[in-house]
Amino acid sequence: MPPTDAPNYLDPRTLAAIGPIDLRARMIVEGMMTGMHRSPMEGVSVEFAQHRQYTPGDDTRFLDWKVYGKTDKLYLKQYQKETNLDLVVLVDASGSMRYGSTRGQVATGSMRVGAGLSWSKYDHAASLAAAMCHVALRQQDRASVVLFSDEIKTATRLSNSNDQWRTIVNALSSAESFEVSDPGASQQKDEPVPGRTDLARMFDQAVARLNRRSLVVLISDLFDDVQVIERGLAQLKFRRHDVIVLQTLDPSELDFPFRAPSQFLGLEAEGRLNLDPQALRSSYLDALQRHLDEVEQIARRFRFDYALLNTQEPLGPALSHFMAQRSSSIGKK
Amino acid sequence: MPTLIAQALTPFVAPALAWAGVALVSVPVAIHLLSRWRRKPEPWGAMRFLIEAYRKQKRRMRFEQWLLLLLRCLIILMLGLAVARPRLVGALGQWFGGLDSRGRVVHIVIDDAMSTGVSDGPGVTRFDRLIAKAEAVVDALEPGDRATIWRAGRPAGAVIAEPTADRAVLHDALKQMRPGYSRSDLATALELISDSMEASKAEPDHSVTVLLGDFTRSARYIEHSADPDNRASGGGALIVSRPFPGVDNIQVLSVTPRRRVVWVDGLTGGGISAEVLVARYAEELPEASASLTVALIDAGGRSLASLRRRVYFPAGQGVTSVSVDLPVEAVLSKLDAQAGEILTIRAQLESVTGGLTPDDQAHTAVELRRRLRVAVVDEQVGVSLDPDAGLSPGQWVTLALNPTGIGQTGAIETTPVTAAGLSNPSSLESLDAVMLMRPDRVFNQDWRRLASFAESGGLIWVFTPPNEGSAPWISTMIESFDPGWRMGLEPVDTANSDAGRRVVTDPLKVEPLERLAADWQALIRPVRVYRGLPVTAPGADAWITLHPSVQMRDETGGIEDSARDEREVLLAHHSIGRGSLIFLSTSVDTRWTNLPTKPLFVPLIHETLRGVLGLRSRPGIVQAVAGDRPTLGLAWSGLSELDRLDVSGDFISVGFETKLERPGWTSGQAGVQLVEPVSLPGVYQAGSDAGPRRLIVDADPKAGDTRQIDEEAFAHWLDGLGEWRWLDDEDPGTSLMRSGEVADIGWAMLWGVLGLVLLETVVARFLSHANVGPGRSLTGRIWRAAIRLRSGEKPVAGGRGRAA
Repeated sequence: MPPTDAPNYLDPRTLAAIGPIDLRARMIVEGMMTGMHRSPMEGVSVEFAQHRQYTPGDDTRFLDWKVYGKTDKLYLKQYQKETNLDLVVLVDASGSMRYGSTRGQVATGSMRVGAGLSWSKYDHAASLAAAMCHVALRQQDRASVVLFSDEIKTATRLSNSNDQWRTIVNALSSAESFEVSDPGASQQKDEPVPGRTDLARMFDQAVARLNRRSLVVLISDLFDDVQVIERGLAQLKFRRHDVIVLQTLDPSELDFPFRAPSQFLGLEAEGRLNLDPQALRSSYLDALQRHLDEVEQIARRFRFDYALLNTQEPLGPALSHFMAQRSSSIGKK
Repeated sequence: MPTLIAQALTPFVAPALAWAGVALVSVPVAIHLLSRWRRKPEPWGAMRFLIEAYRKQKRRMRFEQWLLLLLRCLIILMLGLAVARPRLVGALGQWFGGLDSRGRVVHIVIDDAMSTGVSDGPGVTRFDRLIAKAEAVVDALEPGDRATIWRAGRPAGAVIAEPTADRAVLHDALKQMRPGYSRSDLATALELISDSMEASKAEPDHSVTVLLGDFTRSARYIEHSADPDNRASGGGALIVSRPFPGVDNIQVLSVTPRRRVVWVDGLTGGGISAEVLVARYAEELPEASASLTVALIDAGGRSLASLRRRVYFPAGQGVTSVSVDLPVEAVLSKLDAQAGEILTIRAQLESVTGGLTPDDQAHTAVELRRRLRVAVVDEQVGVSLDPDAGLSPGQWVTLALNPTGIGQTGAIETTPVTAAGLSNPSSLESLDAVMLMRPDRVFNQDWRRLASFAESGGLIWVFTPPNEGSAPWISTMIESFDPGWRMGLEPVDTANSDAGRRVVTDPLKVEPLERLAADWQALIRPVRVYRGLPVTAPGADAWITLHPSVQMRDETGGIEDSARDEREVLLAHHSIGRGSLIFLSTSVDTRWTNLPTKPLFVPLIHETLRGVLGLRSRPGIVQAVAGDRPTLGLAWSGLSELDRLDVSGDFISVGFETKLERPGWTSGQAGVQLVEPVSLPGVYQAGSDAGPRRLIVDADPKAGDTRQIDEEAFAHWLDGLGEWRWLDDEDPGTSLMRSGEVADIGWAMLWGVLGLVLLETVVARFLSHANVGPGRSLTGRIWRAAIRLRSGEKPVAGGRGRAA
């Protein structure tokens, strides 16, 4: 049992207080591993992992006869499985991902802005991506991160070398310096620096890069046309990639709790909108929910894993998805 | 201008509050604009969904915003208007006014003065226009309303005094009305209405007074300030028709005979003299002329003589006079001049176009008498021609009355009477004058009889007796006649008796002596008074004064105020009843004065006697103007009816059908009086055996001024009555539309405000998805702000419900 007073490293509120992204990722992984009774990474391998009591139906080839001779009990020998999984994490670094519902502030990148702690969607996505890569690299899998907005901005090569972890962390931390390739004409001086989302272009570029079957994790708010998303995922399905779609949204985006008439400022150069939020809440939530449902249906149709991540909720479930999918992907090979 | 502004602000009791309400409407508009301008920027990631929702809801949101803004503006506007207590007019005011079930009393005042008879188009007079407006007002009466009708032409009075809702009755009364022959007396009409309202305890707030008139300069009321107490509506609405434009008019103002009593026997080579005054009314007065016919008409309507004269108006002159001498001598043969026969003089303008017609003629009457009967009361009867004895005062006077010789050949018949003879009750019968040469011999009781003789129209001429010492009879005379003079009881010699005192040559304004005016200075120059009774009389009674004047001084040596206008007189006159008292302060004795020996004496005796008796209105002749309620002499008592002879042409006896509108009489101390004022001009007569009587009624000489009234002065006069407004001449009925009841409208609007507040709350809550959080209506915000203030909580300016 983990100590009850120990910090929950899967909680965004805890992670937000941790600055470096590599440290965040390690904390996530450690937090998840603590208290595990059984390794999710068991399988056929030359490296012994653990013993397990025999149950009828088990393969008798893995019985440990030495133990049986000494104790007169039947145990199976389990070995750590050899893997050659390629993990590619696609992280959305567009302007809309920089939104975080800290009172009166807007998060930009992974930095804190102002006096309040910020936890933007990008923070959530980057932390998750780093944690996944950390797990993969520990298992000697090859891992890579791809940051995109209107196009792929940064992509690390697939590798399981010792310095790959550092490369991935640096890449995730460099998202602040992204600029749009075509600054919006309606951009205002006081608007945050945006990066538009162009998933179609990103999918084209990503598919072109992935020449081996890989486990592709897409972490994004997916604020783009559903048809574009469907076409992109279809491309990945066609290439027989395993895909995990983690749609990341801020709780304010999911709830739209605004009351006072405000001037809403688009983070991807959509312009300004003076409105009474209470009058539009219902319509907004309908449009958002319709979009979420359609994205989930597309993912299910392609038999991809899909999860809606609330940046206010812990990262554990998302990471569990990843672990399970990884095991499944290894099993298929 | 103040009137116009006041009328523009009439719809509100407190217009300033209404303006404030209108101004405060800008507050929600400003808040609306400021809230759009100063909204806090909110960076937002999921903008695409917000834009999608916004595009779908844009129209609805704008509609809701405008609806809310409209409701909030309306709330403030209506609140401001409600506290300003609006007085709505027109259909809305009528509807609101209908909330009050109490009807109004509408007082319709129609000016039926003579000036309203002016033509205002082919076959239509101004009066017809006024009646049409009155009928429109009657037609505009609302259910529950009642109306009265009053006429403003003098004498103002009620046509229908009791308020009635029967329109047929009102219309019938209006149709029977005709323009009168007098001036407009609107003030009296308003006073009568005010009295009527007070008597019926009517509520002023539910009364409307509509004044319909032509409002010319002939109006009587405009000469005085309006009395707010006579405000007929007592604070209710006062609606006034606009004045008509002016028109030119010419009018015969009066015909005045030189002598009202003419002694036929004395007419030699002369005639009946009369003066006709003619006036013209126009904005510009160029040189003009007209033709005038003056006729002498007997009791049967027969024209005995007539003259045509040209009336000439120099440029800029509005009034001119024409003197005529009717040749009576030529028609004496036609006359069977019985004693007391009355002839009528009629002056008629001819060929006058435009203006008024009834005022183109005027009448007067003269009485024909064969002789003037005078009693000379002296110490002894008869004339002594003894040169040693000299002439007694009575003899001097008798000779003066008949200067042509001894005998009764003249027009004046003298009767010598002793003082004791006055005690005979029949001694004063059929006399016109009594000349008391020896008043000291008159018994005390006879003084009362002489006073009664004077009151009934006789002339008492008292001469100072040539006695030395005290004169106690003066006290008796003063007690009987009460002339108000100051008289000494003993004769006083002048300081220089040789020179005597001169007669003061005051400007001669005494009408009976006017005929002496031309030679007055020459006549009085040789007259001296050596002795006389000191008598001072007020200026009007001091016909001939002495020089130097005696001024009564008080104890301090100053001149008494009461004596400032008093002068020591030679000849004093005092009116008593219908007759006169004349007093000569010196004796007709050459030791007292040289007057009997001077040329002034004879004409003075004659003119004074004839003038006083001729000017004195005869008991049988009464002259009045339309609208008067003349008091007639005792000679008229016993009559109950009069015949009116039309003034349009020859005398036509019209019988009893056109007799006085309401025949009837009330006895008064000074005679009898008609029950109702005489409104129709004409010559009224009563053919009684007791003697001829003539009541002459002409159109009011001041009623013919048809020039346009000064509208500003008229408005100022109306301002004196309080709040008023012009009548809509195009559609008079709309002016009567109920101006909303002040209090009811205010409360109704406050209820409206409450309804709007509720509506705003509902709209803000349900149409704007306020179910997400607390209400966002204006009233809800105010309520929450108040709660926060009480609890000390700081208001939250927007923000999100959940923070990261």
